[in-house]
Amino acid sequence: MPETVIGRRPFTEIRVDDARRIFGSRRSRHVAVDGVDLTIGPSTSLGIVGESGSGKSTLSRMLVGLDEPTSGTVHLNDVPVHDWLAQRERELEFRRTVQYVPQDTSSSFDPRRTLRDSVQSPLRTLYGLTGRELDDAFDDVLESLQLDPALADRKPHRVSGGQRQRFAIARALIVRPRVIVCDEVVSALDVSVQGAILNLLKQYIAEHDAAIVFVSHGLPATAFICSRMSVMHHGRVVESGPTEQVVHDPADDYTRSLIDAYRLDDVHAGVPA
Amino acid sequence: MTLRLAGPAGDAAVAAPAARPRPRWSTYLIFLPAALLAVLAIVGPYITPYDPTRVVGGAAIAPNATYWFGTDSAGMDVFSRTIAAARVDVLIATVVTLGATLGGILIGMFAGMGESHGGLRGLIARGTSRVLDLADAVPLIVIAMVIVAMFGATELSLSIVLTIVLIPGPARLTRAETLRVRGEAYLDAARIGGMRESKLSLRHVLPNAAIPAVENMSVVFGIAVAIAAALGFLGVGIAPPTPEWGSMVSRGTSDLISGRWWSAVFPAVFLGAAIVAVAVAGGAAVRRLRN
Amino acid sequence: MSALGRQRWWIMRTLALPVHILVFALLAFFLVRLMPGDPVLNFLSDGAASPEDYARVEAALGLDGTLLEQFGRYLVGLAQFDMGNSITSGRPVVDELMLRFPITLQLTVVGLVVTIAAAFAGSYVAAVAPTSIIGRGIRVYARTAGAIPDFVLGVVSIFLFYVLLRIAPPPVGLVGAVETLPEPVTGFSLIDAALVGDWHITGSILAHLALPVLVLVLGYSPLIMKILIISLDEAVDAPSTRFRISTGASRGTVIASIMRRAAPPAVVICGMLFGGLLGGSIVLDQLFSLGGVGQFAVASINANDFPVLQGFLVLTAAVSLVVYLLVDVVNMTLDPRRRPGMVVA
Repeated sequence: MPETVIGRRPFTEIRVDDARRIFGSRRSRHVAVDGVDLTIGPSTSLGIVGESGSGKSTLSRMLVGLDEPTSGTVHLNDVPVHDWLAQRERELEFRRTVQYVPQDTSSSFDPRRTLRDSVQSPLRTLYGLTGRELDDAFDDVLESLQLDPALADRKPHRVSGGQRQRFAIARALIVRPRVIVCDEVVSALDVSVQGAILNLLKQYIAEHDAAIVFVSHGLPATAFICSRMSVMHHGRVVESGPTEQVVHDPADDYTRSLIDAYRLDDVHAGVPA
Repeated sequence: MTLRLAGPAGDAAVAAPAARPRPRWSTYLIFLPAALLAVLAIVGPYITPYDPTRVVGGAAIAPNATYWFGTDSAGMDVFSRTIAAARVDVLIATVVTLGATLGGILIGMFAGMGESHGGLRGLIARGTSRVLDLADAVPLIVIAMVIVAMFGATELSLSIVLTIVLIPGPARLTRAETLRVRGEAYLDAARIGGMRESKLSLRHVLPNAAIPAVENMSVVFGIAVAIAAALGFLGVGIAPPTPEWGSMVSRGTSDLISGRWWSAVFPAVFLGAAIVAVAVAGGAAVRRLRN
Repeated sequence: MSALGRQRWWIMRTLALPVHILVFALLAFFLVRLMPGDPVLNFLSDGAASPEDYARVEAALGLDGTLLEQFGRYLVGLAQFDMGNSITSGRPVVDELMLRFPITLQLTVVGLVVTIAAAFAGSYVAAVAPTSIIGRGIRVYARTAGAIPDFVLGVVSIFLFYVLLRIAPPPVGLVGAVETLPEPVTGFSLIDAALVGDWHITGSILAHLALPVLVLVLGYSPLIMKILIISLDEAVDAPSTRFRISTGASRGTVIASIMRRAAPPAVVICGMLFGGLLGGSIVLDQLFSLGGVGQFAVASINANDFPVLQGFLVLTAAVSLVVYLLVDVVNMTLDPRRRPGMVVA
């Protein structure tokens, strides 16, 4: 295989056109996402906030190709995700460009494999890296996340939640994607760790001219890292705009009630308490 | 890439798990009976004091110094036959356990992965699940005895029939676990990492979904021995004069009722003890592996 | 939902029953035809076989004509409860089986009732006194005794209670050697004897059933107890229970109410249990010479009487599946979540 450059995939934008996602059968339908439009370009950080059941997780899964909209389309660089995934080579390219960090649960990693194995796996599959190259890239990303390499040889249940979440981020960042979709990445973490991880993600966006979609139900963390925000409620985007505007001068009632629920200081200071 | 994590370095590393103290030798005691059974199955036929398939003395002699377990109605030494009989059922049960567990895992995974699909694959998968659920309803011994009666009783035919009859257990366990594993987040993570579905099934689903069936192997073994011996008791097992616990009990029953208990009771007790030994060892092994 | 829609679940489940039975009928049909060698010759194993003999046996086995003709005859016969005739006796298989099936069923039913009662009692003790010797013993027993074969327990019981202790009657038959069974009205000898008011025979039958029932209880109660003990332990440790105990309710009363809540998993087991008990009854039938289908099947095996064996398989499957269906329906009545296709709000 020729000298591989990791990352630096072409990225113009991700565009969502009137996407809908409906679950269930004739007898019991549930509309999770109800007509959402969205555009994300390089060097943007978009926050999507909403309560549980607002459809934000479903939307984030559609952005990364883990789920298909019932109607409407999701595009990467003007090509529908469906087409990207239809053919193996294109699918690999899509995965090199768009990555995903899930919320930390007991099952975000295969319990029978070491963390090293799980984190290295995408690099192996998407770039064919092996041996010394693979280990070097692995050590690099661990170092940047200040993770002790000794931890990597453990099984997932033998590290703390915060460490595990950093490994999950490592797994996504190791392939240097242009787009990272984070779903409740910091929600389960101690506040002291949250700040560190958020800063790390900010740095990554800057250094790699990347885009981040930050999905969360926690307003302060989202406001800290994102320059733009969208608020979701019952599957719809009820408010969208620059973070400052959404937070200080919301046009929508629901958004207002959401913001009021948090202590004003946190949100205005833009730093997690 | 040189990113530096600004801010607090995060939580302290979780201490590595303390090295487990070496277990006392007495904890291995629980495996002793099963180990003895295994030894018996292997060397049994070679260490018998008398030839287990030949008449060696008078008929129906009570246990004494010459014939430790007495002789049966034909004059064969009960002790030799009891020891030598371990091999037959244990051998069959071993083959059956491996076959039924392996077959069960494959079928269970197929059913679990395919259930939600449409079309023919989904139909077959759901049909398979249905058949598996029903397999408990009809007594296995009846199915086995009729099939073996028609096909003849050799080690091979018994192994095949018992394997088929015992597949549903591991299959159900694997199917249930497959359904659970399918919802786990690490599968999505693997997809995001570019892994193909087929490789995903092999690398992530199979090793996790197969665990309950593997843990269950000792139970399957016990049942296999029990049914093989029961078939022998009913007259459709390995034919005499080959020593087999079930057929020995069957032939010794009329003697038992007349008071000459040894030719039936000794094989029966050994059979029961063998099954309990495996059940106990299996349970202990699973408990230790889980910790 | 319409009335029909609400009833849909058990209608579907009941309609599935003939299909399930058909599966076993098919199995029985093909078994004889898949046998190695020629089943006709197998049966005529000794002596020279004239063409007339061959044709006769072939017809008796239902193997004359093309496969399609055979299958057609077979299905038609099944619908009319005709499974051919026994080769040894010449009488219809169904008649021969129905003469003996009730005897085995009798043992199974009595065994089932006593097993369930014993299992509940044993689990109660194990839950109320978990650290006592009895409690611990029951728990160990429940964990390990499940797979011990019925005939092993039977032989040991005969040895203990008949040969050594002399408190059980000779394990040969359902009644003593000089006694006669009552006229078969229902086929269930206990009921028949009671109907006639012959209490002496009824007692004798019960005495002769005591050992087999004991064996069934010893062999199958662990299956229920295992599950009951687990769910009882869970219920005992539940916060609501501890609260109740702390407010003064006696431990026994609390456990009784927990029993009611923990019972459903045991009900689920009953369908499986019946099948197991039936299998056990068949084996014990042979061991204790009770005169039911077990003995009959073994005799038929020795005589190569394949029509009987086919009928035996189909009938046993049918009975088991019917019981399984009933237990399923009861389960689904008690717990709507188990009904297939039901949408729970």
